[in-house]
Amino acid sequence: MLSAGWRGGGYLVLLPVTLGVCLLNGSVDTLGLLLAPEQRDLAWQLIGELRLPRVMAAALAGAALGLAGLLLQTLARNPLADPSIIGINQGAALAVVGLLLALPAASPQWFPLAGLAGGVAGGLLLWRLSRGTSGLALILMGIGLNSLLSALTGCLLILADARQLAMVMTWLAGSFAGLEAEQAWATLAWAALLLPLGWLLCQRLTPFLLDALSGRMLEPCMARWESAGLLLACGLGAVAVATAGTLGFVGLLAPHLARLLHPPRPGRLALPTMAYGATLTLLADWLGRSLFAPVQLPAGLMLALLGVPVFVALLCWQQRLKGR
Amino acid sequence: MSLIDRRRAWLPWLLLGLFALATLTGPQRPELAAWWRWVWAGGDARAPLEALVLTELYLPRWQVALLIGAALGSAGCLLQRLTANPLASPGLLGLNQGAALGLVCLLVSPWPFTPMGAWLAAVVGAAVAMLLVFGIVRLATGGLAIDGLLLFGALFGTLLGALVTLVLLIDQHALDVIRFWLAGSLAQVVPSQIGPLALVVIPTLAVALLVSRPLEILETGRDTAASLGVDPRLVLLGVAALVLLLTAAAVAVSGPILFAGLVVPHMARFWLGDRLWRQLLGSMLLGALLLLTADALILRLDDQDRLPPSLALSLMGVPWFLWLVRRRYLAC
Amino acid sequence: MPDHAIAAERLSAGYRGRRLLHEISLDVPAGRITVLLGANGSGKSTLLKTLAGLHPAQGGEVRLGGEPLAAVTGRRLARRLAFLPQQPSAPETLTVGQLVMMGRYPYRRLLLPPSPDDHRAVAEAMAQTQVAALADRPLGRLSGGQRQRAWLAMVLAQQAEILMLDEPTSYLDLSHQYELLNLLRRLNQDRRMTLMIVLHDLNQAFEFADHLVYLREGRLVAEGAPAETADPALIERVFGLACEIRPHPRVDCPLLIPLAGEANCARVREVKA
Repeated sequence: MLSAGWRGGGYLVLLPVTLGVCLLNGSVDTLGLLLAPEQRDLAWQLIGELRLPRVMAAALAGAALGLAGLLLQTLARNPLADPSIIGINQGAALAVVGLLLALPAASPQWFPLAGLAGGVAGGLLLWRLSRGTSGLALILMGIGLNSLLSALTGCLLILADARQLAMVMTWLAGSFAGLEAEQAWATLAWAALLLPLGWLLCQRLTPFLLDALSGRMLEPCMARWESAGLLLACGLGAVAVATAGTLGFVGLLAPHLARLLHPPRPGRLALPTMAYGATLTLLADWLGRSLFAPVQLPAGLMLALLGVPVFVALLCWQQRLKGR
Repeated sequence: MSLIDRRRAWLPWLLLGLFALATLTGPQRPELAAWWRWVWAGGDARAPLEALVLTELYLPRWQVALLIGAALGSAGCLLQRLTANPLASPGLLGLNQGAALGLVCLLVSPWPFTPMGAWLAAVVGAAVAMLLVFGIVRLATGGLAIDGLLLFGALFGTLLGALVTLVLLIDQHALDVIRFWLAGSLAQVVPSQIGPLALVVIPTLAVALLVSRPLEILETGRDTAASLGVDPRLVLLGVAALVLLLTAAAVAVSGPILFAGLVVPHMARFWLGDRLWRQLLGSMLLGALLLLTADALILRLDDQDRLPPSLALSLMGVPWFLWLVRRRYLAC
Repeated sequence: MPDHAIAAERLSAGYRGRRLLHEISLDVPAGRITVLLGANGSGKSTLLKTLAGLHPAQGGEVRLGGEPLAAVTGRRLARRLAFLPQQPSAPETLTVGQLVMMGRYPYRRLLLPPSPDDHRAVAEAMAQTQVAALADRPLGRLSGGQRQRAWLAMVLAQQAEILMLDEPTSYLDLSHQYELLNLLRRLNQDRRMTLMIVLHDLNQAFEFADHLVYLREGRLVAEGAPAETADPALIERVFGLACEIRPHPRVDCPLLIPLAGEANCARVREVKA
């Protein structure tokens, strides 16, 4: 059994190791190149130009999704909330696909803005609808709204021509393949703005651990923090969607993993959650590109394949714990 | 007491009217007059083109829509009554994705892709999904509460959907065969599928009407049912099997059509009343009519016939679903 | 300082289309225990929440000390007024110490660790409620009584001069109920705190309260000291319950004997006839 301190700091080791593996391992054995002196320059070039943007984008998108999940779970007082469940991801996807179809010439730099608009619209719609209901209603309504939004996205896809279709399909499945370096830098810029803001906000959200009345007694302007947190969560989710399409389950799993090992205060959970989100996404991307080597599987697909069993096991385990 | 409350008799007529309006004003409207003249003349071998449009294009499609709509509507009704919850529907419990996975597996396997084989594969896939969802919910929570069913249904739906995508990404050929089917469209339907579909759906619907009495007794609670001489487990398994057969038959032909199973039972309750056999009968009739209308409306909107009717159903069904959830949980 | 901690003037409140409180004017004496009494649905909880600013007033005014409640905003309000709801909830994994430290939230500065003042207030609150030994235990592993004391420690750590409790005894067994009420009385005497409590048990209210407020269908029926207001006619009007009031054999307070059993009711009817 590891001591509490060790488990609490585990993410500090886990994230750099994953980053290293993802940077060095791939279709070309970069480590071998690095060790051979005459090919060292080639290896550095490979890492800097090909791997670095992709790995950076994956880590940042994962961190953003994890933090968005933590914010939503705290604000909704509901451990099942997640950007992909409450309609942020699907709304952003619909907006971006719509943009692609309406203006085929639009450059990828506009994706984040379109995604942000769609994500905020989807998230706020659901938040308004579920106001005054219990926590589970939010999730059920999210399931309903998501199926409508994905039906609409699907219809837009049917209307798209074949050339656009391939591009949009990969993007929708949540993939980092074919990510442009420019896009990675845009993600970095957005993340550098939003991630610290999210971390700061989490320090303020402690009263949301309590029930609504007790919480409001400690922090009378809770409504303001709620709107701020919701907007920020939408923004974080949309940044991730604009980078890599719809990645599910990171926002759901990362806070749960963090909660297993850390005290439940959002201020303390923020950093580990970001680290776990980044690690999960990096692992999914790495598995997706190396499992069926010439075929690149989208990271979002790997996340769904791995995330559902893990999450179901987690839910069963917690139910069992509660029953005991 | 008459079967239909007179004040609520307008509902099917409204759907029929919409259907007629959408069909008869479309750019490719069937030339009823020409067809009638041909039938009146004795139906010679050489039919005019206008009549062929009706018999070859529209009639099979209408038959399929009626059968599938009836199947999905009654499956939704049975599922809602079985779980005692108005939010249940086959699409939301992952059955559709299970059937899709079964079909995709058949596509990449060496076996031939025949209508009967497709149907069997869909049944097996849907059964696996249902066993997974119900089994895990039972194991995890010790009951079959609808909250857990919907949550785990959505989770496993995602998982099975991801598996379908995985297979399709690895096997490009399968993607081409199945792309339109995945969207849940009636455009691909060929007349040879109608026979097997009717053979499965119509007897199953008849059995469903027969089972309605024991199921209604089961609704009063397991213990009461047992004391009245109804074996709860047998009824439960039987009804679950009926839901599976109906869903899989429909999905195997048309692809996943969401929300028909959710909306139709509520309309049927409004139209014919609360008794199970009435609701079931109403679900069959209204489901058939609703899918027919949705398909005609979508065809009217997009004359190249690319959009699936599930779009129209989602547009109708989702606001309904949101309203139901909100009303159910607002009081808590 | 005025001798009332909170005052309501012609206060009305409710939900859209349904008014629950009708023009209530009320002075809550400072440094005393005030108990709100009334049948289910009489508006006790709504009155408490409205006085705490948790529920919007539709008309009238609440004054906290001398100033209008609406003018006391944000953390200033949280430092002066604490509220313990009927069913408070927190994550099961939160420890008692962490919960009590959350009561210091209105005093904490962003990003800074707890100050010595915070630690002192937490230790004091936990000592008074006797949960210091449970500091590292998660909430999920507490008994009902321990849990209620932990929550009480949380609102005490807030160091507010006014403490409101909405039916704090409702999920406790009888001995824990009295333990909690004794604790509240001690707090009232030691810290000169103003307490406002919603209680269901009339005898507990008579014994522990300095000031009673009777509500019926959202209107104020009577207020005053227990000895002045313990009157069978008033109780029957407020609760619809026939009863007899006697002096308590041990304590200097009234004792209520309900006459609600069928046999007693028949006798009451006979006597009245």
